[in-house]
Amino acid sequence: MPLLSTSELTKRYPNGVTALDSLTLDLEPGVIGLVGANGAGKSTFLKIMLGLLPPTSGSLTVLGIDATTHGTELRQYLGYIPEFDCLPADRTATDLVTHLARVSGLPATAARERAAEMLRHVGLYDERYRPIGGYSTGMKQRVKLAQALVHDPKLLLLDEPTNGLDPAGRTDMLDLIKRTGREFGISVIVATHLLGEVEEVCDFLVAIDGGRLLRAAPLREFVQETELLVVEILGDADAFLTALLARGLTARMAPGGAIAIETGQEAPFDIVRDLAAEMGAGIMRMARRRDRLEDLFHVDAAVIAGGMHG
Amino acid sequence: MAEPVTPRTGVIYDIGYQHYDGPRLGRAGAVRALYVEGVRSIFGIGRGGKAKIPPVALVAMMVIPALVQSAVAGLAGNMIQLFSHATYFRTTVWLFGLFCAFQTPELITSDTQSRVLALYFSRAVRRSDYVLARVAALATSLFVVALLPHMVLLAGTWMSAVEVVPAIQTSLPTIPRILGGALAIAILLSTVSITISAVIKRRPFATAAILAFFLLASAFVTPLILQRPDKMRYLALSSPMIVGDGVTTWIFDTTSVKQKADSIAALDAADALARPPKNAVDSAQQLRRRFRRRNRTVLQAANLPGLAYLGTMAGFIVIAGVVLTLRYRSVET
Repeated sequence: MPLLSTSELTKRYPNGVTALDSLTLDLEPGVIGLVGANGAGKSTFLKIMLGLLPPTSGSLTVLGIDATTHGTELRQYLGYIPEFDCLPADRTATDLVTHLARVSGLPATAARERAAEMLRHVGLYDERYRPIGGYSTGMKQRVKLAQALVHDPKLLLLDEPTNGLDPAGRTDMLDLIKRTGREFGISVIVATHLLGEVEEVCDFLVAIDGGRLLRAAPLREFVQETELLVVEILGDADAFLTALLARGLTARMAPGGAIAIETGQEAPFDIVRDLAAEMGAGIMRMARRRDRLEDLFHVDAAVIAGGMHG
Repeated sequence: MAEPVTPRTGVIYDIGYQHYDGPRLGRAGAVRALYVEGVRSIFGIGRGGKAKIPPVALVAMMVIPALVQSAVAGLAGNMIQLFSHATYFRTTVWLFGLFCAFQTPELITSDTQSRVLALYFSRAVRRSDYVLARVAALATSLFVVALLPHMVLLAGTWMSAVEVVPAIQTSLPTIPRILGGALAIAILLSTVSITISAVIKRRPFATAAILAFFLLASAFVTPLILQRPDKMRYLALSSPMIVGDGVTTWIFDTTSVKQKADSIAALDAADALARPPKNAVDSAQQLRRRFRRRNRTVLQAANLPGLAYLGTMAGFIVIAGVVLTLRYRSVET
């Protein structure tokens, strides 16, 4: 059974904004990254998956349940972390997560046990008996994760889970998401505009922009294509690029005045070195890079007007 | 076969993530959880000590007149009626106003402000489930609060009676009226104050708005109605507190409100006829009439039938339902 399957899914808001535009997609269980700039339609897509927002047209089934007609039934199997702060300051984490477990339909004893278990899982120990108002952003984010897992969902939907976190908190959060997917066997859909994060945790990527599907593929396919050699030179970069292209390499200008050369089976180090010597240009920096999924989107810069950093 | 069991102590095993395959109570469980948590938050149960002060103090103050009445009855017998079942709501109306004004935003506005609603609505809960659970929580709380002083009154009456059994028998017909009156008050005040709290985003403003609508509005219209009952009588229907008073009075005595009001209206008419030309010296009789007119209640001045209050109450509830539906439809998740 596919995790999620949509057909021609479209959402148009009354004010004329098209948030989703004929999205057709099939996803298998796993940890899935939903990437796109702010306003690309990620949150709208998540809300339709939750059955909270009716689409204008098209269909969507999640876990084999029609999200447009059986939202309430479907939500039993979903866990959701909204993008914004949604925790009451005057309650303790234990109190809140237990209460939310009961709202998920768990009997009182089970709710207490699962709440304690989940809070321990996300790494909240003694703090969980203190009011949430005094928590750091990282701790709040953990509480949000605990409440989303407390009823043992089949699919976890996360909207910008690392927003506002410091680097350490970000690493912890991504680690928890990874564990949820790999060890707990719960499928995860992470909506984010930070491509670097998606790469750390996801095994499948869905890129959307302006409500349209750009691409849906396993992460390794994305990464293979972006195997790059980035060269910064002292001298005329444009002329250098032209010369590289003349030698039959696929290269282009990368942000910051660097030149990005696509590498095949072997890196064209020699060609770069020889060319630099010929043209009398100095090589400032030369590095292999296989991150920066952003580059993939810069190829289609015209499509992604505004860039991925929104 | 059996291997010797080696006792291992003090070892903590990380048993990893456990899936849950126990019972799930679905929407019914969710509504119950929201209801129970609602009642707890209204009375500050499970919260800090400070949260308990306003509800407990208000409930205590509400019972005081009943205790006084019971004490008086105990000392002087049941003939002296300072506070009675039929007028008890009128006596404590401002306490009900304060209770709603302080405890409803605690229940409703804090959910909106903290945005925890997003976590409720992303579960197997419909928005109407949430609203109904919260209204039920406040209505039951108000029902219990409204009932308590009546129970004290009844106990006082029975204990100070010469013969207990006939006293209980005499008061039996009152009991369904007490229940009916408390239920009407509970439903009317809970729907209206929840609607106000749901519409207003910030807690202090919600409290102020409930106080204004429940207490200031009636304080404002009452003198108008008393002075010009002929023209201003329908203003009585604009205040939920006067409507609540009207409904309870009607429940306790369907005939006497109208009759008493009619007799006073007749007196008014006679008064107007008998009034001599301008600047004439008031006769003793006219002074008595004036005094009587001044001492009548808003309900008597407005002289509206009980069904008008009942209908208005239904109207308030319907409007509340519509506003609440629209309001929670637009909550962002």
